[in-house]
Amino acid sequence: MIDLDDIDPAIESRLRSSLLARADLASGVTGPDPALFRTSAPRRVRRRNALLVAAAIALVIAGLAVLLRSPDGRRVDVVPATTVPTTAEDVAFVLDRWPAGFGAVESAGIDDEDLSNGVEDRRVLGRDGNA
Amino acid sequence: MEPLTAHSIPGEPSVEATTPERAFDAVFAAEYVPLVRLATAVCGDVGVAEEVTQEAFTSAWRRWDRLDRPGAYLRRAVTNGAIDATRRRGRSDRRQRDLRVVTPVTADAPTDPLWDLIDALPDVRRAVVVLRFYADLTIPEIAEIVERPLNTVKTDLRRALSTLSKELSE
Repeated sequence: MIDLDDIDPAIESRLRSSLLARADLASGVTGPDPALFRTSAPRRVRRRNALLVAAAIALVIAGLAVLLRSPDGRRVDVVPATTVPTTAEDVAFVLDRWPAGFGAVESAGIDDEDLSNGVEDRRVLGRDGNA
Repeated sequence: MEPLTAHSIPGEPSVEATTPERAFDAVFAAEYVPLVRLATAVCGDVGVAEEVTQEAFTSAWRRWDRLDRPGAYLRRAVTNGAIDATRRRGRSDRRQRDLRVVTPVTADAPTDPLWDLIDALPDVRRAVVVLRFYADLTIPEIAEIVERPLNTVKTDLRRALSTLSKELSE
């Protein structure tokens, strides 16, 4: 085995000149514009850009939240288009509606007078319960 | 005879640049050609060497803010890229031989009979020889570049020299 500290000078010289000639194959090479190789931003810039995008998204969400609040501070519910509210009351399952049997009529047990008084109360009182 | 001195292989360039772009451009201007020459010495093909060097610079820019020693990173990337390219070319050449395709040889391209012997060395062993006798790097520096233990690099170098000496003395 060859001793690395005692290489035949003739062989070393021959090897060095051969490798130099091999590298000289690239003697006509000139460097292109380095900007061509700065194709993607370095990590620091990408991190800064990501933070900016995140901040912008947070700002938009905060803005929407402010817009969706009514002037008196109550939250305005956003109703999906598929659940359009109607004025009709909920219709219970038929057996609940007619517990005595389908089609049987039962009294609601409320006098007309009580009903009228309730309506009157609502007219008298405001939204906050004060007259 | 031409003096065989150390060639301009990138160390750590002193870059006093204010922006990463300027620092990158300064390293590029100083190191591009020496790195192409190094890759050419490893793989023997200027086109492949340029491709490998350009990929190394693109890769270096992506992690530029984390590179303490861009010169060392580039040297490693170029050497390993040239080794990989030679492996790929070896597979392609074998396929061409199987298909009996003859690759045209450029008439005016300089050649050296020793290059065939160098090309016949295993890929990493060839890179070790180039880094030692072209780039004049020390064994620890070579071990860092090819990512192998010191003793393995020494063995690679001894075996490569043994093969080349035997062929040269015949």
